[in-house]
Amino acid sequence: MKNNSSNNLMNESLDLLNSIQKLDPPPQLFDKIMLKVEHQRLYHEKMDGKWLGIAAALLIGLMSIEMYFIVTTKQQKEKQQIVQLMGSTQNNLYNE
Amino acid sequence: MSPANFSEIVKTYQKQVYNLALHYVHSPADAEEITQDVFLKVYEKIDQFEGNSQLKTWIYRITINTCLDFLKSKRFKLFKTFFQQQQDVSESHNSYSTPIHPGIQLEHKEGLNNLLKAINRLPENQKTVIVLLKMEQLSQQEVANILNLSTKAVESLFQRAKKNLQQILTNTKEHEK
Repeated sequence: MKNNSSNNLMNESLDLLNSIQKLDPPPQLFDKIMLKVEHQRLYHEKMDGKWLGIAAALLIGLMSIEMYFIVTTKQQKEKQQIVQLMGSTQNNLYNE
Repeated sequence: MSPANFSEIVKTYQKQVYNLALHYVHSPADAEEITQDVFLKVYEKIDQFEGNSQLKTWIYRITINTCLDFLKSKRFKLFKTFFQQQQDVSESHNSYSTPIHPGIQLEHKEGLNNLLKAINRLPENQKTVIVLLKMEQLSQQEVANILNLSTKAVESLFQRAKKNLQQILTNTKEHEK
């Protein structure tokens, strides 16, 4: 009995929550939201550009390193060939 | 998404989001901040919206999560202030928890204010069920869709919330005596 009456009281209190008025948002809120979203969009664009720049720089760096190795190994091979050639020429001269 | 479509979404749902945020934080300035954050999230995640639920339900879900995160970070800031400046945390906590919901009409001011304070002390999911069922006037089915629960689970959460509210209000009355 007591439980029932307290339950009813609680229901009545909760029904009072209906009376809380819904308010209109402040008029400048719409503009603030749109401004924030635009700001975010521009930020993402800027960041995308930044990442693109970083990726391009990395690619160029990697290509330069590769070119350096290609050139140095080629030069070493040429040097070896010259040394071999000079060695065989000297041998020939001695033999003669 | 084109800016025109997005502004249409903002126009349609900003009142719903603003008022739901007000039910959680009771402060117009905080509700405004939350509304801005919610639409920023909507803008960023609109591509992930699969259309399995209504857009309204999806926006409700984002708003609830944003409000709960906001309250958590507010509590965290209060504790941080306490540890940093050795100020009385209960004082600062009261200054946050006292804002009176601006939608309360004068004749119910005291009763509703006490009730809202008690609702604020409920666990998050119970508070959300009360807010959605009683303040937003949604049906149990709608609440179930928003919270991804069955209607039975919503009903049981509501009953538990009522029981806890009763307990909190009784304790407060006894404390006041």
